[in-house]
Amino acid sequence: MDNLVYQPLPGRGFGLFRRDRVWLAEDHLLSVRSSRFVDIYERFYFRDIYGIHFRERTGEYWMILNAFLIPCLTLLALSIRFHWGWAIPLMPLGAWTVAYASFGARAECQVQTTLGLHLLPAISRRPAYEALRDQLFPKIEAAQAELESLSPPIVPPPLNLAPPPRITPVVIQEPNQGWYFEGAFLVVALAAIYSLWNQRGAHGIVFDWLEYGLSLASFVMLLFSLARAYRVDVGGGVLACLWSIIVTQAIYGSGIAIAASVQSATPRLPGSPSRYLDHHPIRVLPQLLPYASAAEALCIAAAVAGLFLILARKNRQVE
Amino acid sequence: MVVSVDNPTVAACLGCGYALPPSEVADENGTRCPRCRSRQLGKLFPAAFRPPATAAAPGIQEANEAACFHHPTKRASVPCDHCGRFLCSLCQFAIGPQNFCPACIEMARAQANGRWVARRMNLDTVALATATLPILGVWTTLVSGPAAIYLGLRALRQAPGPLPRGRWRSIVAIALGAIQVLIWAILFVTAFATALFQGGRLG
Repeated sequence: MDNLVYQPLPGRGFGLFRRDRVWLAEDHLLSVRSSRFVDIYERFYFRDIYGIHFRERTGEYWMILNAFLIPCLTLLALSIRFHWGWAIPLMPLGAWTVAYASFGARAECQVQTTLGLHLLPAISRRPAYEALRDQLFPKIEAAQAELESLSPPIVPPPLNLAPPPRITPVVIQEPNQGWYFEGAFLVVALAAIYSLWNQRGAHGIVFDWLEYGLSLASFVMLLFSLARAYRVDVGGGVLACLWSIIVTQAIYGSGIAIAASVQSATPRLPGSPSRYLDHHPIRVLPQLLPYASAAEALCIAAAVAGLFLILARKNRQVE
Repeated sequence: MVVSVDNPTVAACLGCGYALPPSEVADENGTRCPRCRSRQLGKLFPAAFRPPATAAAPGIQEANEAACFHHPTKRASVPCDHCGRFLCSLCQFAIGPQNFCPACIEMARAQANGRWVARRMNLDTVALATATLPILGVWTTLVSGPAAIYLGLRALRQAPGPLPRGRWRSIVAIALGAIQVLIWAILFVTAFATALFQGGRLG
């Protein structure tokens, strides 16, 4: 009963008060959940492991959120001029995006034993699971070699646990959404460079067209990302696109309205919102402002309703 | 993907419980759940299809059969790999390739053997936190300095856990605690000497 030699496996849960690791011994797997002050150990002996299960969560919903927020914040930054304050909401989005693009979607890995399922919190990404699979599976198979004859038949019986889906699921290869995020970052970077340039007083039709082009590019990317997210169902994709248009316009209009109210309440200062709003209908016709706010509120309500419609439609498809 | 214990050939999605064929899940790239669309990978091992263990240990059939140490009427199946007592299938704790009796497992847990410990307080980390965090509130180091030294010394004597762990945290905690105690001692001595000196001059 002496102490064993453990070999660390890739993958770790990391946080201020969290540090999870998985260690491999000669005859068992050790999962360590730690709050840094207290370690909790779980041992899974190779002979007792029924299965290793890995579920990669869908990143589409987060992708949709980012698909809205990054272009919308860019549009907002463009509409009321660039300010370093815009980096505050963009930074966490950017950090998440980099993590997603680099390591893939978050996942959960569970070990099944006769007692049930045990979460391995350290295995939260696909590369960590693949390393675990390469090192652990041969050891488990070797430990359970004498039980090999008990393997199940190759052809499974009819599945009766859940009703069959109404739509045929599309077999999708490994998702690669990096192109979208790279594009979104490019747009944000271009917007930042343009806005910095514009702050120096360089105005002209070229920059106006650049601004329009950037807005259009981000909007097209938004539509494409939504179409990809809802690729299973064309109707849902169209609905999502309509929803995205409404939300984008609502957020964009809100930014304009906020900028207009800020401008009307404060004296014009260098760097304050001015140039864009000089030609905006709200600026030209200030009496439209209350109606514009009501319209924006309506747009937001429509967007929320659209979101619920999409979710309800998706639920109906799978039940 | 979770295998059903009753019917191991049917698997279900980890997220939503939707039925999935295990053969597709065991594929290199796994499969996507049609309901929640999350990708499922995994593998089932032969242990999942092992028939369940019998609840009752078999009794002694013949006079020359060895009996269990704890249950004299039950037939012994294996000896304990630590103490050597004969064990029936009820008393047998198979851990890896070895078999142990409940008494040996309990003794090992009581001795905090690294192989058996399920929970461990990292006293060295506690000592390091005690030595560093109270620095933010300067006066608190008056108490935390000695406490860090005490905890650091206890951490050095703590039974090792199952995993390798360096001793640098304890040493740094003791050093920081000692520095804090030293600074306070110098401040007290200086203040006392100053008061004494001023008192003597004034007197």
